Formats: sequence, structure tokens, C-alpha cells
Amino acid sequence: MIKKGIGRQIVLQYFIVVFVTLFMVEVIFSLAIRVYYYDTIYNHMSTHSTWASDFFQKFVRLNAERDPDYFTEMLRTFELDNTELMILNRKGEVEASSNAFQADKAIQTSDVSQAAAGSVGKWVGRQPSTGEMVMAVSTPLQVRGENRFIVRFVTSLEAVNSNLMKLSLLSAAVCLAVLALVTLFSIGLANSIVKPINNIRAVSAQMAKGKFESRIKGNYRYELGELAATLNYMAQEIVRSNQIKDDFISSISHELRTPLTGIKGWSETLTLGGFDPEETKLGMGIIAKETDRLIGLVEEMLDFSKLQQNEMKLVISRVNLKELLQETMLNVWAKAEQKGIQVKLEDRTVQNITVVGDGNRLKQVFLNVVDNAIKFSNENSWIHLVVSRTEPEKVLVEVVDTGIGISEEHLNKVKDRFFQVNHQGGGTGLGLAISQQLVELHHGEMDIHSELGVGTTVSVKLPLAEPEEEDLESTDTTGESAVSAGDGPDNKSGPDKEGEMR
Amino acid sequence: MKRVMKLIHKAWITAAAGSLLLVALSGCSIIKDPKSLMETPQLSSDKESLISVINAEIKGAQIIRPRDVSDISSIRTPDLNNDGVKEAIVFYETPDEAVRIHGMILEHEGDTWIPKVKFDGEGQVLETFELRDITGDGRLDIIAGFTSGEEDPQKGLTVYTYNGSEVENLLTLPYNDFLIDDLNQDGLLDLTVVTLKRDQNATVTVYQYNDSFQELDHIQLDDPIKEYYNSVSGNITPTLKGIVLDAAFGTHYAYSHLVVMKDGKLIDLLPSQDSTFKNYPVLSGDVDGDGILEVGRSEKPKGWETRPYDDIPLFSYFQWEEDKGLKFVMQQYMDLAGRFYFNFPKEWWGTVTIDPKSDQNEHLWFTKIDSGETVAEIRFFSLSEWERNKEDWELMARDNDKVIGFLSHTDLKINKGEKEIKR
Repeated sequence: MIKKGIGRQIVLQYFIVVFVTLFMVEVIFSLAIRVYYYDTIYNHMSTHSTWASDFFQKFVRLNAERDPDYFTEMLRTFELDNTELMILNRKGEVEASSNAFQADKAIQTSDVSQAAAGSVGKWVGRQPSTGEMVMAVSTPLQVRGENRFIVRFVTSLEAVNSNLMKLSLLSAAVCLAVLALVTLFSIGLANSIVKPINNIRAVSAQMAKGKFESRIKGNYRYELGELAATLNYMAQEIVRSNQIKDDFISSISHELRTPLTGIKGWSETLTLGGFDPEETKLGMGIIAKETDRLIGLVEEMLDFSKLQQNEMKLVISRVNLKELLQETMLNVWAKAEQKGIQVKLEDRTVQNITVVGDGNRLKQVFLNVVDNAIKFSNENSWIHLVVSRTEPEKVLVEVVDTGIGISEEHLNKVKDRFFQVNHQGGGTGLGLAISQQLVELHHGEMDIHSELGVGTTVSVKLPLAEPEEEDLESTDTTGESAVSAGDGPDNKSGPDKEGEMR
Repeated sequence: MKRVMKLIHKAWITAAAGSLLLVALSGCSIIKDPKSLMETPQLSSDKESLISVINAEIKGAQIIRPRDVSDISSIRTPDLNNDGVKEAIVFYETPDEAVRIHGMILEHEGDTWIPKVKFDGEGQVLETFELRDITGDGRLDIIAGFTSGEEDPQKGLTVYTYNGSEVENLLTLPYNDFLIDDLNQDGLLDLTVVTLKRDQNATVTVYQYNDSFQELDHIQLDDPIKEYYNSVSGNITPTLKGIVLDAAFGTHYAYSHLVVMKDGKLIDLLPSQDSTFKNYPVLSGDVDGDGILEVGRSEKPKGWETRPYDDIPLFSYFQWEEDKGLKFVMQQYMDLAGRFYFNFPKEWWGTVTIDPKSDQNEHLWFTKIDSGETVAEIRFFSLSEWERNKEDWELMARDNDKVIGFLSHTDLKINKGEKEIKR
């Protein structure tokens, strides 16, 4: 009926609990009703016996035991409907009985011996002659201050027992009905738990086969709901990261092919052209530049894979952050100048800012961030580098641009590896991911706030170094020191030439 | 799925309600008053079949019991004709017929009973019926006593014998009491019949069967009484057999006859009433259980000489000794209102009396005759008094509103140990 599984387990547990409960109730009920029936009958007989023996002693007591009517009178006094009445002597021999026959032998059951000892005796057992279940109640009867006779009532319990049996069977039937009811009910309950589980299991099996587009449908509550949501999210993430990887491969192929094409074209041109010195110089220059670009790409990927495998080693020293930012500005100066962008350092601190870390790596981070800012800024705009201390022991560097901004939907993903909003822009999509991890290696935080069309703010928060004596000497770097495109020294290395930073 | 569950629920609610209703309705008839389920126990199938055969045979007549204190059972199943097969004897009455009482004999055959013979009884009431081999032929005979049912102690005795096919009436006699014993000690039972001429005299006649019933001897007793309230037969001395007749006169005075058969002749050993006079009709018989009959007599305790006989609660019992006459055997205190009695312990005989100041309904003192020292007390308590005193007093008897306690000043106990007062 129910196949193996949680459903059957639940039904079985319900069944066992209810069965055990009902079984105990049934047993207790049977015992209690039996005690009630037997006690009522016993009380009926013993009360009658007590009453009759009082009556006998008060009114019927015959002095002359030789009176021929002695026992007849006694039988009449004590007679009780639906019982056999016996008058026994103290040895248990039957002196008179309400049945017509002479008794065969003395009666030796426990009720008689109890009555002979002076108390009311009760015995439940089988009649030796007929095997019938009977209850016998014996009470002593005083004659002249002496327990001379025993009045014994015997009644058949067959009808009582068969009625008790009927009651027990009926109650057992009721119990079975209840059990069946509860079992059916529990099947319903089990289904309400098992069906969602089966549903989720089926969908997850499909997911395991690679069908990540399938989703768990239905509105489940509590743990099951969370499980379903988690699985759905997982599938979605798997699809997305696959997509990102595919994008990366296509973009990286493109990135690799472009310089290679240049190198190949120039090397062929040079081979074919009669080694004109001017032309050769130009060609070789381009080949060298393209090779540098290739190396840069490969370096970036190496960095990334090192970070991925936690094999990145930092060369730790004390770094003056303001100097580092100024160097960065110098590095991007040429590129910024091309787009007419002004890069400004806005220092809101009064002291030297020193952090502990790998200067080259930190520079790599800021170069990347500022380069991105330049890349996504409109021409003739400003980029601000704001250094401030918003909380003790931390320094905050914000790179604020007024560029195209990032939409909310992409904002969460820009730090993911291989993600690029626009694949036409070139690059690997690894820059921000690497920067993020580098900042985290320096125990810092990196956040991006952006609004589409308004601009982007990348904030990098780094812990300050333990102050040393030389740091206490304040340097007057208050106010703004801007590096404009015009007065910056010529710097041949662009943001892509990160080979220099190593 | 929810809808399905709902549907299931609806169906089951209906089913559950239905079954509950069913239980409630059927419960009315199945939970019964336990008392209404009591039944008279069945007889064994053998007896059941016998009763049904008898009832079928007597056609609505009533099975009767003998008015007999020794055995009031109405159906008896001995082997009457000594053939190894049980017979059943039953008496029944047909109030509207000329012959009112009938007897019937049935024989056990296989699993059932076959009615063999019916015979007529006498009179209106079956007084007694006994099964004894009075004819000495090895077969039980039926000895039945009948009366007219009126307040007339004259009864009719009939002896029947059954030979396997028919019932023969051996003897019909008027009687007041009859006793079956072997008075002449010849190894065969004889029949002693007591007949009374009211307020004049009585005759004791002994019959024995020898082809027919023959009189062995008879004796006339000058007792102007209405009846003997007690008659027993047995050993008077270890060698002599006889009967004891207790005669009552006046309101409750009584005396006894001791009649023995010696050399085939009946002798009244106690012709005088005085030696066995009693102010209360106590029963003669084998009181001490030694196999020899005793006769009772009132005994005035020391110090009671001035009090009337009516009050005396002390009785002595005597056996007969052939040369010496009556021999004292035991003494018994008997409450004249019938509430209790007890036998004096041996060491009290002749040494302890009942203090004359005793009130038999309140407090009794038993004192030593020589020193006047109290050895025991008997007191009547109300139930509340008894609760206060039951530590010291032994319970002797109790009824609804009174408790009778016994207090011993010696190591005497009731029904316990060697020193006890026997009940």
C-alpha cells in the first residue's frame, strides 16, 4: 500500500503509538469492568447474606434445633434469586441446599474456610461437577453466640463472563476502528510531509543530471521551503558561474588573439619588407608592446590563480599610503590625460598614513581601481581620491568618479571573477576580483557604491599600522594636492603595464 | 493535495461519527446491570436430566422436601435393590387428588433415567424419609413418615421395600417418634417406635423384621405430656444400647427417660422425673462426643439455693453406670435467652460457682467456692463500651447491639490452648 520510505515510517510510528495506547486502554478497561461486575455481584450476595443473617438472628432464631422446619425456614429466610443457597456446618458439610439433591461431599473451597474462621469468604472458580465458572460467597451464621453454620451463596458467572467477553470484543472493535481511522489520518499527514520531499528530491535528481534550468515549484513552509529555495538558488548560481566562465574564455581568447595578431602581422611584414631600419624599429616596438600586453594578461591570471589557491605571498613592510596614492596617480596620468580627465587626491587627514602591507600589491589595487574609474569616466571629468579616517585604527580611501556608473543588477556581480558588464571593453574581468582579495589579504574591506549614470565610488578600508615614533611627526599634507594631466611627469607605464609593479 | 485531504477528512468525520453513534446505541444493551446477569449454577448434566425426567413424569405436580432436620433433600439417588445401578427416589404432591403424596422410583440407564414405579404415600405432609436396610436383606428400604398436616403430633410411619420392579408396603404404624438402631445388638437394625396418648402415657415399642415386622418388646411410660421434644438412640453404656427421650411439661420444664434393652427386654432406667429435672429444655445426647449418650439436668450453683429454678443457667450432664446409676460427666453454662453457652473447664467442676449477685443479662462472676476469689467474668457490653474494653476482654459472642465478653483471671482462654472453655 505504502512504499518504503519516510511516509511508511511516519504511518508506522503513528500506528505503533496509537496501537500501544489503545491496547493499554483496552486492557485497563477490561480489567476495570471485570472488577466492577464481580464486585457488584459479590456485594449483592454478601449484603443480602448479612441482612438475612441479622434478620434470622432477630426474628427467625429457633431455639429448638430439632424443629423439623429448622432448615426449611432457614432456606426461606436466606433465599436469593438466581443463586444456589447452601447451609453448611463448620466442617463444610452441606446441611441443606436449595437444590433438590443430597450433596455429595463436604465443600472445601477457600470461601468456606474463611467463613469458618469467622469472616465473609469469596471464591471464584469452576464447579467440580459441571466445570461452570461460579462465584461463591460464604458468611458465618451465629447460633447461640457460636458460628454454627455457614451460609453459602453460589451464582453462575457464565452469563457475566460472556457479557464481559462481548464488552471486551466490542471495545476491541472500537479500538480497531479508531486505529484504522488514525492510520488513514496518518497516511494523509505523512503525504503532506512526503510529497514536497519527493518533489524536491525529483527536481534535485534532475539537477544532478545537469538540468539546471529545472526549478522546485510549490510553496512549502519551514525547513522544506528553505531547502527548496536553497536548491533553486544553487542551480541558478551554477548556471550563472558557468556563463561567467564561458564569457571569460571567449573574452580571454579575444584578448590573447589581438596582440598575437599584431605580433604575427608585424613579424611577417618585417620578414617580407627588406629590413628597412625605420620600419624594423617601429615593428619591433609594436611586437615588444604587444608581448608586454600578453605578459600582463598572463601575470594577471597567474595572480588570480595564486589568490584562488591561497598561494599569494605578500612582502610585508610599512607603507606610506599617501605616497603610494601619489605614485598611482602618476602612473595613470598619461591615460587620464588622453581622456582629459583630472585625477585629484583629496587628503582629509592630518598625519602620515602608514599601513602594514605589501606596497606593490596595494599599488596594484589602487591602479586597478583608478584605471577602472578612468575607463568608465566620461571625457573631461574628475576623479577624486579621498583619504580619510572615519573610524580609529582604520583609513578609508575612496575613489570617486562621475562616470557611467553600474546598474544595481550588476553591482553585486562586479567583484565576481570573469564578470564584465560590457565585453567590448577588453580585459579579463579579473581585476576587481583580484583587488578585492588583495584588500582582504591586508585585513581590509572593499566596497562599491554606484548609481547608473551618476558615478561610482569604490571605497577601500585598510587597518592603520601600529604608530612608530617617526610617524608621530606630522607632515603638512593638509589641503588638496591635485595632479593634473598637465603637470604630471611622463610615465610610460599605463594601468595595463602592471609588470612594472612587481 | 489540500483539497484531497479535506475530502478525506470529511469522509472520515462522517465515518467516525457514525461508528460512535453505533457504539453509543449498542452500548445501551451491552452494558447491563451485573445483578441481572447472575444465574443459578447448573446442576451436573446427570442431575439435570434426572430432574427433567421427573418433571416430565409428574406432570406439573410439585416435588416435596421432607420436614426433616437431618436431611431435607427431596431427591436421593442410592442403589435400592443392590443391583449396582443407582435408583432415584422422589416424593411429590398432587394437591387435587385423593392420594396427595406419591413416591416415584427411577432407574439410571445409560445416560438417562427411566421411571420404574410409582407408589402412594399416606397423609398430607411428608415428615421424613430415610433409606436404611431395616429388613436386613442387604437392600435399602424406604422409611417414610407422614402427617395429616394439622397440629396433631400423630404421625404415620410406612416402610417400603423395592425389589427392582415393584414397591411393597411392609409396615404401616402410627407413631410420634421413631428411631432406627440395633437396640438388641443382634447385628440387624430394629425399629423403635414411640407412640403417645396425649397427656396420658407413652409406649415405646421395638420391632424387628423377620419375614414381617415382629414386636420384640414394648414398655409403657407414664408421661402425661404432649410430645417428646427430643429423642436419640445410641450407647447408654459401653455395652448397652437404648434411647433417651426428653419430655417437656409446663411452660419449659423438662425431664428425661433413659430406656435400654437388656436381654431383649426394655427397661426404664429413670422412672423418676426428679433426677433429670431441668428448668429449660436442654437436649440430651452425646454432648461430650465420647460415643455414649448423656442426659442433662439443672444444677443449682452454690449460693443459689434460694433462687427459683427458672433462673438457673447451669446444667450438668450425666452418663449411666450400670451399678452406680448416674455419673457426673460435665457442666455447661447456658444463657437462657439462647445468646451463648460454654462448657465449664474440668478444674471448675465442684470448685467454682456463679456468684449469686450476678445478673444474667448484665454481668456474671465465676468465683471459687472455698475462697470466693473471682476466676472469670462475663459481661454484656454495648458496642461503644466494647470498643473501650476490647483490649482486656475476649470476645465471646456478638449481635447487633451487644457484645458479650469474657475476662479470665487465670490462664484460661476461650477455645485456645489446653486450658480453655469449650464451645
